[in-house]
Amino acid sequence: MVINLFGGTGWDDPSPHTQTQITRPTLLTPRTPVQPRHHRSGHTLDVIEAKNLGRRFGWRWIFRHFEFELKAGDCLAVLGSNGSGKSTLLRVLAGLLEPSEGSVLRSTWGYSALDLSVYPTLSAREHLQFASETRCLPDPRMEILDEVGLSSAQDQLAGQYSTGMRARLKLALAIQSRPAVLMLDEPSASLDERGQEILGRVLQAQLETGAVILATNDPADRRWANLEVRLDEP
Amino acid sequence: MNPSWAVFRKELRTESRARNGFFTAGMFSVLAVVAIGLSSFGQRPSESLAAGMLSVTLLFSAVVALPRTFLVEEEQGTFSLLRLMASPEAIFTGKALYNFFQMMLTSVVLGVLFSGLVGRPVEVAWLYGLGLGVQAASLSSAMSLCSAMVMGASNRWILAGAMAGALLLPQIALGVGLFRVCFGEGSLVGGIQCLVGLAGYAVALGGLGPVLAGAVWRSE
Amino acid sequence: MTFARGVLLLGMAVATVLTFVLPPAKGFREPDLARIIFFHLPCAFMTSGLVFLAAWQGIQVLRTRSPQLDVRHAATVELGALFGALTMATGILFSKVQWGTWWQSDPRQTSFLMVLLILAVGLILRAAIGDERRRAAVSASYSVAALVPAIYLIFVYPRLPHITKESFHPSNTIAQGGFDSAYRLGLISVFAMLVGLAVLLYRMRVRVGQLELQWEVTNGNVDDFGHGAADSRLVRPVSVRPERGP
Repeated sequence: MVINLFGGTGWDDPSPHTQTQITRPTLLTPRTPVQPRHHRSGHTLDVIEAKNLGRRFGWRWIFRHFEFELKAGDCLAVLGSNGSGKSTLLRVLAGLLEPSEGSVLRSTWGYSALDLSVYPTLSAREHLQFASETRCLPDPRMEILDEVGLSSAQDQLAGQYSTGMRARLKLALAIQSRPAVLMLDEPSASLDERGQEILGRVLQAQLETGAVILATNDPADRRWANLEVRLDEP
Repeated sequence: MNPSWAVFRKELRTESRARNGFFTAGMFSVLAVVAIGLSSFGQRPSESLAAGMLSVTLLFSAVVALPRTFLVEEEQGTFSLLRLMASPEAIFTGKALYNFFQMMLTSVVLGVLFSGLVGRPVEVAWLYGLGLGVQAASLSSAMSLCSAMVMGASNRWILAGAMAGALLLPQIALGVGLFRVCFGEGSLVGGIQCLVGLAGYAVALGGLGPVLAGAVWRSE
Repeated sequence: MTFARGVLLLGMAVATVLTFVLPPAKGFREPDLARIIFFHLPCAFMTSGLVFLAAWQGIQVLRTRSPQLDVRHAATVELGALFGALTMATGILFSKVQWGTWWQSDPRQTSFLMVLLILAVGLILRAAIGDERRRAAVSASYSVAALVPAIYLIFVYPRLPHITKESFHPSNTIAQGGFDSAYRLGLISVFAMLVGLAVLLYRMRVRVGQLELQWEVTNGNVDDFGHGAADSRLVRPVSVRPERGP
């Protein structure tokens, strides 16, 4: 298994989703060392694994000794009150913050969050084009703009978008590289009914091939989860 | 496509629409040169003084305009998105390339205006042109490094200026040594030595830049 | 440790007395007051050495991300600034008594002022950045980057032909045998004393930094904010609905 903090290679083609009741190990469970796994037909792969993960700001620990592993088809809901560290956990998992202890092993991933901004002077099409160039993707997959309902506004500058449209653009960027794990922080916070439908379709498609991690308190989002964790609970 | 090149093109595209950096640097350069021309009206500054004024004007043009390329990402909240798309090394290299491009344009404008308005003719034109180019490379590599390092700090604009001021101090000395030869004082060999010194400075900081910026950004 | 401190104290006393009993240097306007060189020159050497040490430790901090190494790096940066300030102060005094003015705008004086400014910005950076991880990384990176101008200002610039011609400040005096053996003995003694003093200050500063770290770790384990050190994050399965999602 490869730690790849900056996108790129990993398991680009995870196995198809298999609907199983998953009982995931809890923290501090002794586990055998993780071995590299390769795609086998019918084999469910780990797409992300957190080992003894902890993050602190100053001397204050936000979370600590956090362990889990997700396979294709898993959806983990990270719950907790405001300030409990949900967003911090997702940022650590996405490689935007360095863990204070422990490690994250992950395949390819996509990330979107409320506090992530898009370039106001670039259009949706240019965003996808730019992302495909920096990620060295052979195809920018412009058809994603259809999937997220932005095809009619694809040449409009993102600065002129509504909050919901920007959220859908971020979602498009997060799924552009067909990530094995999709991490969404408060995914439905700024979405209207149509946006919620789009998000539902994206999550459904993602769970067929990969895993999802949601930081949320929204009951609608929680319905997707087969695993959950509360961060404000000792 | 090379990710650094993609970042460079993105900078070019966003700047061509916002035009803040070019306007800031361009306006500062013109104002500085006009102010110098006004203050030295009717006098002919000595070669060393003219070289000093040109070097300092170039330095402050860089300090005013170049940090923006990095710091604007933090201010508009797009840096996390960029980090998700490209490696720190690619981001730094692309942005430093863009800063070099911007500084080259600024240097050319400033160099032409300075030689026209300040009343000190250029005696060694080829060295003057080459010197402006190398100075632009040196300033942009140092400013890019400073800006990249202080991106997450709350007082980043002041810190970038303070850091750049310290790291760029030798460049003033080298720049003065170079341009005074261009204005006709000192030996050509001395001028070429300063040119090589500036180029070495640009290469050293340009080479260190991606590594150090990557280390800082990954430490968040 | 007490014995070592005693030896250092004795050494400092001997070295200080030595600088006053040695015969005055010749060729200076105020030969007796030229003794300030005994402190000025070793301080300059110490500053140069500490700039290199800070850069080396900076690389180690970036490589390992160790807070303990960052404490050592911080101690070196602070000592570098201290000895830089002492070099500047003794240089200014020397300038006044030998050349008649406090500040000559001499290229050598100015270039060392630049080195001092570079060191001062290193301190400002540490003070300005709150997050300890970022502070460590930025400070370490700065020490590495600052080596480039420091090398130029300490070793290259003073030896440029037009600078050596224009400057009042002597260059390469030791290498050219400009000091007699008695003076060299005095310089070496004071240098050794300053190295000992620097080691003592360094160890004390590192100890303070380590205690601060220890305090932070201890406090970090106190559950002060409701989720200080809670370590029982349970990832638990929930029932999967027959049809997922809305």
